Amino acid sequence: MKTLWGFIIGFVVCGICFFLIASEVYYSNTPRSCMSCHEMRVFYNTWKLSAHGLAEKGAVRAKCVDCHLPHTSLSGYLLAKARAGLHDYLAHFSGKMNTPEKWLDYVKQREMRETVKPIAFDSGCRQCHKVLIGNGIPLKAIKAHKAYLLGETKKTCVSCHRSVGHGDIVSTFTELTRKQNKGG
Amino acid sequence: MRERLFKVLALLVAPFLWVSLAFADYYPNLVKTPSLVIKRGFSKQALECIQCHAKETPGIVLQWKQSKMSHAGVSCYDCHVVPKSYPSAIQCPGIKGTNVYISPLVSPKTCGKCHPKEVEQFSKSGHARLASRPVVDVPKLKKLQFYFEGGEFAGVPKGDAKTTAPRETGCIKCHGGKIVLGPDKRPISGWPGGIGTRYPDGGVGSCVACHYRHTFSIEQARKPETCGRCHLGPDHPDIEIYYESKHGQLYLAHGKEWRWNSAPDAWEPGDYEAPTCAVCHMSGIGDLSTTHNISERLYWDLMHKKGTLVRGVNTPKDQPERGYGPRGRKLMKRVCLNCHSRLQTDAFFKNLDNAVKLYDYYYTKVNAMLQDLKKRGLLKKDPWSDGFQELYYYFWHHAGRRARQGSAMDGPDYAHWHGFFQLFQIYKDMEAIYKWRITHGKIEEPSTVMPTAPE
Repeated sequence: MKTLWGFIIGFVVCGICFFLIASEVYYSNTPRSCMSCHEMRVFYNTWKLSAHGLAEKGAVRAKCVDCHLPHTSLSGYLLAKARAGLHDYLAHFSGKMNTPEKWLDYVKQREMRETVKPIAFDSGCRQCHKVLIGNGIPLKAIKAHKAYLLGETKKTCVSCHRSVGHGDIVSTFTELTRKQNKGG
Repeated sequence: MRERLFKVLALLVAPFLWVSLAFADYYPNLVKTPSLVIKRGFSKQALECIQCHAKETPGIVLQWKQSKMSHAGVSCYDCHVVPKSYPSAIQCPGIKGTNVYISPLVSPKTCGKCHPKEVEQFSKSGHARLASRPVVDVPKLKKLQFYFEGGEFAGVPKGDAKTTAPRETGCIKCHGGKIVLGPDKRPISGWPGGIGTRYPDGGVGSCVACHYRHTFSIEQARKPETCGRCHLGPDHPDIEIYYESKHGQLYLAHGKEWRWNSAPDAWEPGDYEAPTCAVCHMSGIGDLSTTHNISERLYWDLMHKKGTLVRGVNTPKDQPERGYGPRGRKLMKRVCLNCHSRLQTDAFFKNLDNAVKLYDYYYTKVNAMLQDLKKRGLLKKDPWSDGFQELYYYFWHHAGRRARQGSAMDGPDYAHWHGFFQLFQIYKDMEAIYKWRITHGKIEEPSTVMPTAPE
């Protein structure tokens, strides 16, 4: 009898935990959730104006997690999500990236280096952009996309399509740094 | 009365003169068809660039319209438009006041967006970082460019613009330098530069060093004269060696009839009767695929002082771009085997190896003499007014390379008369100076060397 009650209580507790986590996962998949840290406001605003945001062309909108988490498998997705969440949480409270100047250094460095650890994943892009050669794709893209599809290059989508997520982000942070220095 | 008439006439003529002068300045390139109207295949902004530049710089647009780029729908916009934050982003008069920014400089990073494999291979070759190393990274050679060649030693003030002339008109045109931008983000030095140019966006190399803009013709890049722009002259007469070789002779006789535009990897014997520089060092031939890493098929390093430098084996470890020695020999032999028997191929490389080893024998002895004089304090501080050191330079940098490269590419006159024949004479002169200094315990005066290089 005791075992049965223990089993039922355990089941209920697990269920509640599962729904809590699921709702958290669901909520944290929205841009609004990402934006709850003020560091992300710039990225939200620039995303809104970009090709994947709300303002441009009225095409399908891609949320933060659609690009910034890998979409290879559910476990990989959740693991990367947990890791990224923890990383950003710690970074927020340590004040590691609390000025536009620090962000400017970071984004500039990313621009200059040829191979950098991806923060936007091709598996995300390819969820929607399935066709890379063919109808609707400009003729001039064939050469590049062929090399990509044949695995002749290690370049990722954003190596070339740099401004699709947040426009000219270096320029944005340069402007913000200038404003801050002027104000301060 | 007459004077007044002249004044009135002058006043009448002046505005016309001013307008015509202004226009002369505004339209500097006057060709017969200054306008070009295209209505298909390009975005509105791209068409604006094309049509404006058809008037402003018609020569460029005329080249572009005959290129494969224009056929593929690649226009000014695709290579020259950059984000505002790009280091050399500027606005030409046509786009002032818009959000569009352009860069006149196009780095290999841009080319690599569509040609990633080619740029990645090229970056791993001696044509990239190592090409501009002597101009940008080696202090001794910077002194040669500014202090000696730039005339500082003869009284030209340090920092005077004249001192930059040898570097800007000579060195960087082939080697490439580091591009320096002015406060208006336009280049003030280093551009347009040669094959190892270091761009402000971090890109290293220059695709247009071989694929001339704005036609980007594959025929032109495959012709030996393109390589010959830099690989010529007393220190590495590679185009001269090629012309002298049997391969080059066939090129000179029948090259005009060869097929130069077959697709990469499919340009094979039959399209040509004999190889050009590109065929052996880069092209897809037989079972080899095309490579933009020109170091890949090489065994010996025939550029530097020491003779027996096997690439990747006893070349500096921090310079992996020098190549992969034994693998290089294997690959090059596979190129030869497309037309030659194994017997002839092996015999050719055996002769080359003997030539390299003979040069190295001489070099080792010459270097021992140099080190001995150095130890005894019998070398002048300024190598360029010291007969022994000048001869040492011509020994390895000119005659030594000619002997080795002549042997490597079937240039008998360069292997022999401009090579080993001179090496043994320079050797004897150096030995004589060496012995004199040791016997007398001092440096001879004046210099025993003729003022120009031994040719």
